Amino acid sequence: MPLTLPHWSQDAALTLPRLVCGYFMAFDFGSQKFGMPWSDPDLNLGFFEVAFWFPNDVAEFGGPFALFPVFFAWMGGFSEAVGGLMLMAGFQTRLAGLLIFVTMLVAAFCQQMQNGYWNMLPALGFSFIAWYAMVLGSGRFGLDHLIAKKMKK
Amino acid sequence: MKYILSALFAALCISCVQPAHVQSVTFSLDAEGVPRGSIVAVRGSDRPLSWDTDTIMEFDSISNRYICTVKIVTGYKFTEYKYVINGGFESLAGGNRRLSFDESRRTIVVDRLNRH
Repeated sequence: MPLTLPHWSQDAALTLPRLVCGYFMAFDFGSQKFGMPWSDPDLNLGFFEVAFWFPNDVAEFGGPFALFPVFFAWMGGFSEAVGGLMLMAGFQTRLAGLLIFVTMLVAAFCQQMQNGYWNMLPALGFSFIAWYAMVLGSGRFGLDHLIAKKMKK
Repeated sequence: MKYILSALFAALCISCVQPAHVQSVTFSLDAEGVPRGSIVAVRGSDRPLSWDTDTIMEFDSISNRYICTVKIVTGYKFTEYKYVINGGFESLAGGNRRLSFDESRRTIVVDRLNRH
């Protein structure tokens, strides 16, 4: 059950960054490395396929990422592309928030930190949005709210 | 929730990683407009090419062209590249050059400096 704030405008204010984050994840960052129907055809990605280069990049993070690079790469791509779509729609918002939050933390601390704090900002920004989506759920503006209302009846 | 996790696991099992293939690409650059004695190279987005380091091209006096062949391992249908003369990128309007790989996996591109 998503938490709703006292006034609808407060929910609307929190919906906007959620939509923007979900859009960028699903239709840009995610679809470049994870096969979605709207991925660029020249990328030659099959449906739900992770880009050939991504597991190699993930393996360079070391530790468990080097042991299971395909799994972590697939989960990262899925979290961005499908999690972003779920975040936009407000469907299973907390789960989508969790997927994106973890993926963005990995991106910030395992990939971008070596390039300086400034380069960590985009991933951290997305992780902050995913964080509040994880805590609050979709609010009034999302499928979760509609589903919860219907189940209550 | 368990249905979502089951669907996720099933999707992971049946999809996975995009297959990659070796694409042989021959870059052929017309020497016209290139100052004599220049170091001519190509840079690009897919290994062994890189945007930071030169892949040197050899001058072929018979064809009057600079030529090099690289093997790119990729799953994509295209790659992006640009020629470099004495360490400086060619001045090309509209960004990088882009080539589509031939289905035979052997692609030859014939270019002129500073022109698409």
